[in-house]
Amino acid sequence: MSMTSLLTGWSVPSMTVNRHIRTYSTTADILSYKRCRRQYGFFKVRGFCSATATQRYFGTLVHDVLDRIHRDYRSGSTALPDMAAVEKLVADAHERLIRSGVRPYNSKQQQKTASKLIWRFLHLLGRQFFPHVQQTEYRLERTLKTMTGRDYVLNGVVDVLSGAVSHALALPYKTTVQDVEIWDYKSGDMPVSKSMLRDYEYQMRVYAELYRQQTGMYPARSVLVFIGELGNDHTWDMAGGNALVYKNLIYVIHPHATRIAAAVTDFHNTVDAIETEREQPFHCQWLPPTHPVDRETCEACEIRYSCPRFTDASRQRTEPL
Amino acid sequence: MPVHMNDYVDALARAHNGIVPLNEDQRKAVEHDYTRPLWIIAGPGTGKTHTLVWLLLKRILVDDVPTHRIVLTTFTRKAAAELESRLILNRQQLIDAGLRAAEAIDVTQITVGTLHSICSHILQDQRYDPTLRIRLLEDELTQEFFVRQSRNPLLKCDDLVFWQRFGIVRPDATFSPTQADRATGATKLFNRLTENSILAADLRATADPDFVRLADAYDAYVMALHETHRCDQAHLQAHFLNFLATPAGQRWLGSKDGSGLTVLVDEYQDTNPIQEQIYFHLAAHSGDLTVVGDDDQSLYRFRGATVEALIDFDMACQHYLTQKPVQVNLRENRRSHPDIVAWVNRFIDNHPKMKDRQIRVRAPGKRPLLSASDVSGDYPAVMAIAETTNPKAAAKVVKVIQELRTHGMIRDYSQIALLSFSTRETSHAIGTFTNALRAANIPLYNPRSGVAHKDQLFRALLGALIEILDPDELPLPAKLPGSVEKYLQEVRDTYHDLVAAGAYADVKRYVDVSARAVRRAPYDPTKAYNYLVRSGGRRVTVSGLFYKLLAYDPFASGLNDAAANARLKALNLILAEYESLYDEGELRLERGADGVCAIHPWSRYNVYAVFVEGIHDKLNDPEDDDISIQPGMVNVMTIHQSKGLEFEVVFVLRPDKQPWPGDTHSMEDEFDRFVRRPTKPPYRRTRELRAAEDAIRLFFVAYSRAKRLLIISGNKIDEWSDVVGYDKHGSALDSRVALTRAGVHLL
Repeated sequence: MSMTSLLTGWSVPSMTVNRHIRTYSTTADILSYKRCRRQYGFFKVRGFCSATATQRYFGTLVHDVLDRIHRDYRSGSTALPDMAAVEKLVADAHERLIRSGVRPYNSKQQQKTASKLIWRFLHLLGRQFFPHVQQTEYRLERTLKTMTGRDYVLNGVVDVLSGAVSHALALPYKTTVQDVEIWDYKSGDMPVSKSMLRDYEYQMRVYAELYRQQTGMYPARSVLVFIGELGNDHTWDMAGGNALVYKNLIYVIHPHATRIAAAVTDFHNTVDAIETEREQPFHCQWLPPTHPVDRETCEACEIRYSCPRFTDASRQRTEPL
Repeated sequence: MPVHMNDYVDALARAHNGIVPLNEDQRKAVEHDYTRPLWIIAGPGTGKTHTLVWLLLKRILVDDVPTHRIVLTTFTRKAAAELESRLILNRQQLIDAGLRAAEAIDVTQITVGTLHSICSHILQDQRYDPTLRIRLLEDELTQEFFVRQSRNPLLKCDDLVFWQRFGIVRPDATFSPTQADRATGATKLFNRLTENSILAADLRATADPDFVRLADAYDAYVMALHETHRCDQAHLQAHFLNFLATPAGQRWLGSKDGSGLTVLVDEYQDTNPIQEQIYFHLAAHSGDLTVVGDDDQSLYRFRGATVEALIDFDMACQHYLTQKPVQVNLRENRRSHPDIVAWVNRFIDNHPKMKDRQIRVRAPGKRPLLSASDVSGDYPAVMAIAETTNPKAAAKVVKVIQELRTHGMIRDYSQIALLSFSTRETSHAIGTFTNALRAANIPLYNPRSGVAHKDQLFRALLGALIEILDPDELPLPAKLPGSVEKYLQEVRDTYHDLVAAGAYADVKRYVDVSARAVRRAPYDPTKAYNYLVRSGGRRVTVSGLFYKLLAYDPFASGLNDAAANARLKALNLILAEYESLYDEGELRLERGADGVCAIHPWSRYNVYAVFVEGIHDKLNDPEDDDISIQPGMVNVMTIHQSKGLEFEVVFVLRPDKQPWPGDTHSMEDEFDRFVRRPTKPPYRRTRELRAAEDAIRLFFVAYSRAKRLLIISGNKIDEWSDVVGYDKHGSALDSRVALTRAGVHLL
């Protein structure tokens, strides 16, 4: 007997559609996709393992030590560490990173540099800065909808949520004692590249919007601290305890509603673009971008050897090993 | 300002065309007042997730529980993602229905995830010192690599009796296990000890030589984890439990007003003992604990799950929280045709092996499922293909699928699933069936076929890699297992066949010049260790070579094909795990007397004996975290994989293949005396009976995935009785006549 005659009263089942609501972050998703969709799709979406991901030694080292100092301070240790104590904290953090598999080049020099930068940061800003820190690794997360009605979760983490730090530091712009600020540490110098600085601004504007959605108001300002700037010994000699001598140490982004809205709209649109790309047939997904990609992005990408956007692809591919 | 319960229910009704989308039992669960813990037993298709999500939103809106104090766990990342999505969508439904208070709910502040991910997240958030920047061993294979890399003493144990005692080798084995099998066995033993909080000192105190040996090995393993700042999944939970006992943990547990956490646990039937402890510790301050699950669907004993956690939840509550829970049974099955519901009810309710006078084998007070699906039709919804051989059964399976598709009775192949205990494509499992489907041009998706390592592209790429590392097939410092040697030869041959007769000349050129570069590599005899470097001085890694090869055809083109991409990714991911343990994949050199360099023998040996050994006889494709069911294809799944899913048509293949008494049951017996937990049964059933329970629960899950049609297919019908069950008179359905008498239509 055929199935058709056997299955009396069978109704053809409709297809069920499962809706996935994904989480997106500024750096790991949106900026990464905008820099190079091929690299993003290959590593972030398809899940290939990037060997370079574990190599961000210096930034992690600086970040971990500052986080440790914050925690110690908040748990009641009001004295900030001196140089010897900073070196010990750096050595401990280094040890932990090494054991967790990070393999830095010339780690002794990098530790020495990290210790110097952190100590200088503490020396110049610490006494005014730390009493105002409210929270470190402050998590921001919201469910949002794109312009096309697609739900997604936007998340991010800012290094420091603080009270009126700029006020306490007497930074050269209008501040009040009621200010709430978000601060983000960058372990390098202020970037020469305008596009990188734009990316930082973009990130902080998105965080400002997340903060507004979470608390009902924008932060008074977002502050980027380029700790790498403190490596300049000549400026240090001139500073005499005045942080403002380092012109590029602190970069402030004021909460400009229009610019924030533009950043968020761009974020929504990029989420839509990524989701649309996911729905393409497999062989049409994550093609090389049509726009130029900066060399640094390409050099950090393991699939550059066959990429038409990487100008050195052919030479590097045919090199032995 | 909390919402009144009536307003919440009204909004639910408004969001669903005026009808509250909860039946009486579901409503009882949602309206629970939390003066006592809640114990929800939810049979298949009874709307478990649906109830859980509306319950959670009610907790926030009506009970005024702050979202950041809620912890919601489930068993897989996929399930956690689905829960989070459903929360977001259901919240929106409430807002659309005019319940303005729902706008204030920030779903992202709820801690949702698997228990592992939540432990990891909280430990990181709280900067728990012992786990700061710790490196997690992601899965059992990586753990086995670690056991090998750390040279655990059990690797040297060639005492066959020891391994037999714990079920790692069969009782009739005559040879001691291989190094790889010892690493697998050691991993299972260590995880079992950690999950049961068994102390090495307790093992040692028995003075039993096997336990003393195991205690020493476990201590060595734990020490190696500590020294290398690594952590396995079981130890991550142990760390979390330790954290909860610290002052910081206690501070985190109690909210500012001391009300504690609201804890909801999905899939509680697959909880292991350390997880059970964690959940009760999390809820200790508040007593606000909800568990949801179905003991009949407990599948993960082999990973340490103890179904008693759910079955005896009332006793555990009494022990930890000094109060009994309120039990709610969800019984209305809205998924399946009434015949299928009747089939699963008969199967589980009549099964003599699911009854025991001394202990609970099922949750107390369980009653049959009620059929409430809108799937109907006057046709026999349970069928069987019971043939004398599997090829005959496979031919009939193909015919049925073709008919369903050709006559438009299904819209897409993905509405059909083939489920089996094992989906390996061998004649011992379901190879006959998958071959028959392929021969008939029926597209199928089988990520757990265990054949990724046989894929030609995969082999060719691995062969090319090995050709660079070891072009001259130099001697090794130790003997490899014969099967690994054979596989290595096969992958080399696959690569040579690929580039034979001038094909793919580019990749051949690259491999040849790279092999030459190894021979001529710079070497400084004054250095203790020399590593292979490429121009510019950067050290070469195995992964680096992998990515270089990936730039050449046919591998580069393979990345554009979903199946080939999956296979290459499988190689990439396991390689990355291997490298994280072995010199980050960097390659040591040695120089021969003739001045020619080669990769150091131990570097080559490790690649072969650990990495290749780990994949040479079975490798699954990596699975997509987002997609549970592949569209356009018949989905072939292990029954374990199918948990939580449903399909219009389900074929249950090879019911003669069932779980058997093995290492899990032996370890349960051997470690029983060391286990101290409130839900430990007063006596342990035999290994055979526990294995039968596993088989029965497994097939209960398989049958209950079907919405419209369930077809049991295979041969050896006389071996089906445990998994097709018995009629109400206690007679086994082990013949075609008996099946027909039970209402099964034979095809």
